Amino acid sequence: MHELSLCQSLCQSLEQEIRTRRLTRVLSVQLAVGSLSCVEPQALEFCFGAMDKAAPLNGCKLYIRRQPGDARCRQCASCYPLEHWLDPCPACGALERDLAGGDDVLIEQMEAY
Amino acid sequence: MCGICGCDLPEPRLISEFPRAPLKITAAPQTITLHQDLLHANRDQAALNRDWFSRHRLSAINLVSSPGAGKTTLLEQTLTRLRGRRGALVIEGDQQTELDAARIRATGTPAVQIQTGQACHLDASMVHRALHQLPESDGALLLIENVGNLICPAMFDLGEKARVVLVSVTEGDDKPLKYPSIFHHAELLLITKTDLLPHVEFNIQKCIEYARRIQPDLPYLELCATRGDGMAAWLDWLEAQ
Repeated sequence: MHELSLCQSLCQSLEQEIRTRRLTRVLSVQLAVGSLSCVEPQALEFCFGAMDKAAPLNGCKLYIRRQPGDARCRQCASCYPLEHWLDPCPACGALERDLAGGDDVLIEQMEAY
Repeated sequence: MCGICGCDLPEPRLISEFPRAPLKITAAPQTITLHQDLLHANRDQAALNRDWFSRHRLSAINLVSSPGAGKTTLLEQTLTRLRGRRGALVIEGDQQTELDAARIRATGTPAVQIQTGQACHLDASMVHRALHQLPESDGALLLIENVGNLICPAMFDLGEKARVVLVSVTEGDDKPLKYPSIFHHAELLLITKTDLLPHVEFNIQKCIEYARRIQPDLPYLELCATRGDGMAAWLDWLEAQ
């Protein structure tokens, strides 16, 4: 259940932003969760909702967007978004590819005052 | 409507929603772009660990596998064979108990046990804290046995030089397809317990083919730590790190 660790990191990051930007309340936060990451968005939502958070984060909504990896086929060199590890190249069907991103989680933006 | 799954039940009342501080709006809400890595704190700590390893010429190897794949036995046999060749240190990660560290100490190697409690993986700060408990040993091999788990450790950089994923032949040869992420992040695949091959339905070539669907260039070694088969090649690989 590493989603709980991730939510703790998320709250720490947001609290840091609150302090440095002198904010009163965070209304929402948007994450881009890599489709190839080991993160289950529903578990993340559950943990974030259930956690005991600092007052400025109470009621903060969590929005999650899936971010595929950027793959480049080693056979035909076409570039394509990789949603699942075993998806073949849509142009030639090859599996071998070089991959960038898609396995991380980014805090994209937050709505606050 | 429920905000979690969209069903018709009322929104679950979450602990975090009360007590709410009274709102005092002082300005209009603004959208702030962050583009920040959620695991940046771990990555920053991993970078500090990596820097420490480099300054002390420590080669840190992160061993990952499902529980029971033979990580501790491999370490015991590796350390026994390394004696007199190269200094070694070990960090053991388990949810509970000191059992594995005790096995490692029995080989004469300094070992620290991290008990992760609720966490299902080691992270960079746990490794950092463990480093404080190990003797200074410049130029040594630092072997980190992660918590037996093929999912969670994949996301957490410890600052290691290389990650080794073990699959024992008593597991399914389709493990790489079921748990792809950890294979994508590995530098070496070790197929262990090969002495049991006559008794199980494990196809080594299939396992390698599956792992290379995830990472086309993944090198592999086969070994049986208790019998010593393949240990020379493994020690050579470690020596090159």
